[in-house]
Amino acid sequence: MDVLKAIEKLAHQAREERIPEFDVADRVLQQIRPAEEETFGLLAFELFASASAVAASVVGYFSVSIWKLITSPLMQFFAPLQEIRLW
Amino acid sequence: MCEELVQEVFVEAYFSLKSYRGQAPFLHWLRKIGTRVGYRFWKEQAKTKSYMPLTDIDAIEGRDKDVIESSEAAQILHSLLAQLPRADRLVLTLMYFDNCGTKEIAERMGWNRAMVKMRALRARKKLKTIAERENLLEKLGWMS
Repeated sequence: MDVLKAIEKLAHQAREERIPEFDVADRVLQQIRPAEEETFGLLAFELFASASAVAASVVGYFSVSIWKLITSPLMQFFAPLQEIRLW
Repeated sequence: MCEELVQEVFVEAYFSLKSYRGQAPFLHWLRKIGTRVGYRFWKEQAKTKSYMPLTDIDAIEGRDKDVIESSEAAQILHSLLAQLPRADRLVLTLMYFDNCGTKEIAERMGWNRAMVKMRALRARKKLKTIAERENLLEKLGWMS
């Protein structure tokens, strides 16, 4: 008999092996729970970060428009003197 | 060990649920995770260089039974396959134990089908050499 045929025969026999059953539900839950809590903590942090980013954007939007209105005090030196009519 | 691996499969499945698109049956998706967890386990096992001893094969030699027990057959086959490189071992394990075709193996591992075919061919040759070196036929003479 060919070795590979013998192996095929072994494999055929091996496939009939009864697969053991394990109840891992409790241990899986134990492993998942801490990670879940961590995820919730992270979620709160993400929410706070998002709210901060929105607030910063609003402030930034108004700041830019106001910034444009501000004139530099240095520019006053170069600005032409206004003539005042004395009489 | 098996229990720990089963646990790992379910934990990994839980955290990968987002990646499940519902296009294929859930069982296929879970099998994919199971295969990858097992494959990773072999990698870790290879690092520690702990493998199944081949004495199991010697243990069956000279037994009076005419038919080999399925668990014994599985043990022998596992110990032979354990001597192969990891990827070869995976391909043949899925073929022999799960009755998988090359297409399914390629899908489970995200490999190219042609590559799986080639690997299966080479792995069989390597397995043949190993089995001959171990005098498998002589030891299983009563099976033929």
